Amino acid sequence: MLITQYWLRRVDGLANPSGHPRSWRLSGLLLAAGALLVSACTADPGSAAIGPMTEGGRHMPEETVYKGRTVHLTATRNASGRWTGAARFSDEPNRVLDAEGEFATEDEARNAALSRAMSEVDRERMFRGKP
Amino acid sequence: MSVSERPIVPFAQFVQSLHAARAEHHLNVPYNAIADEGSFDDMRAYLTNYYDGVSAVHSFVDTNGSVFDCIPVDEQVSRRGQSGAIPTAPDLPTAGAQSAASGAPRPQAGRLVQLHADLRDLFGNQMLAPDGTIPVRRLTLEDLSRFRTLRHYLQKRPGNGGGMRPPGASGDIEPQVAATHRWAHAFQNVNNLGGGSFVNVWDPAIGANQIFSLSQHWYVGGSGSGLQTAEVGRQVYPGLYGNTQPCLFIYWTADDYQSTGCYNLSCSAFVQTNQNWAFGGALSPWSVAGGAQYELDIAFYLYQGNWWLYLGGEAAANAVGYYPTSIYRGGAMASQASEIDYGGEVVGTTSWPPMGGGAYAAAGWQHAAYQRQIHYFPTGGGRADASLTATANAPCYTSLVVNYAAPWNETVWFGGPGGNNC
Repeated sequence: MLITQYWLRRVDGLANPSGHPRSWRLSGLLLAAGALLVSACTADPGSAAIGPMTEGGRHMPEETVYKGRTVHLTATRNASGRWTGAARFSDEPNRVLDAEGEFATEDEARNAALSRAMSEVDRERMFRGKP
Repeated sequence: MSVSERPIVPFAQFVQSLHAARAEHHLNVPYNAIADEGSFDDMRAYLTNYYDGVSAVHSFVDTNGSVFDCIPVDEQVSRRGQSGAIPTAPDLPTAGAQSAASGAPRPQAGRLVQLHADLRDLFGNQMLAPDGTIPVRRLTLEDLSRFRTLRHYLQKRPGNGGGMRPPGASGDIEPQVAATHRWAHAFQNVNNLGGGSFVNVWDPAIGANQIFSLSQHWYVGGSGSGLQTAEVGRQVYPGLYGNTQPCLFIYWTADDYQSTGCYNLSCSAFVQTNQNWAFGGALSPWSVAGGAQYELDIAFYLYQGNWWLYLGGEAAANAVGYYPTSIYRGGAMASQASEIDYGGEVVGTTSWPPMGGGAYAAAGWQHAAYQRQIHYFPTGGGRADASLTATANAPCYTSLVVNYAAPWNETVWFGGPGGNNC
């Protein structure tokens, strides 16, 4: 018997997960488009793997570490009741990174700020990694 | 006759050819990038040392055309000079009290393997390492000749991309063109003993001035020059493997990718114990846009001083081997990791390749690449669903974390078309 194909798991019987996500978190630069995506996918929940948040998001800390750099995350509620997020690195306290957009919850705002900080660290590390 | 149809050169003959190789046969050859005769001598010395005292009881060629030699476990480079018995892997931790509320248990798959006794290569050779041996991808001077120097092959440093001839390149290579990385991924800062996920397998095309495209796990500890990682995933990397199909890979660093680290079994680090998996070997079939999706169950777990790698399942029998914590020289990863990270990475010089199927994260099922059921092993025991934050190098790539009900649980979608303005 000549068999030359390796075996990977074929994803059979695994439904498109688009139906009822419990929460979703976009990368920072997608956040501005997030609201549009939510409304579009609410109308057609089977069309994409994005949907309305039906449970609360994660609890975001006020401080975390990414690639060894300590990141402080803040969220501020504005007059309209929505939240904005910002991040700063402990080794660059005067550099403030604002997350784009406004958010429904404090945790979402912090999450967006962390995403922004991660993006900055990644950009600064573009020369580092596997050869 | 294509490369894959060439008969396999017997192992002993191959090793003998290394000693007889001459620089003029590899310098100034199309697709080779060796800087000079001294660099060639370094490469030849590295390979002759790599194979010194090694015997092969069997060889086969995989679907990518790579030759694998099956060598006794104790003859692999990471076991040389070590007399102690190889440790035993445990079953992976199950969901305990810490994660009981986070979702359903992982579905138990059959024992998925890359190599199997029923598989035969083009020449009728069994595609499985005999008992007591492991398959090791044959490292050749032709492989190393695609890099300027041995250091370029083994290590990462700024501008390293200029050290490798990008696929499709012609004329002189340009060392001043630095290779740079781009990512679309999701991370969590949490002390851990490893973690796992199902990794969706794609075959992104790598074009001119592009280096590689991958999907992987990162377990990270430390900071600055002490940043340490254990990494595993699937990778399309023509410059390293000499083919354009997805390959299984592992990588590690103990000093932020400066002077330590290597792919697969190319240096003394990972100890392979399992005959069913071949690093640098083909992973197939791969997913099709709008069609069938394929995935591989992957996990790392720190147990009794070794970072054990599991492929295709969670039982001890699925353990493929381990990174001993001694490679981390008392650094952070010697005792635990503090970050988990999942997603895609690409490298290019003036252009960057597609990631996954080339679709953005929002395209979702059957279009974007994914890793699902992402979890970690807390330092206190058990397992827990991850709670990740996504980030990506827009506009070329995006990422999206979604928490679904089981069996998807915490999932990261990622990908993008790449291009020249990343």
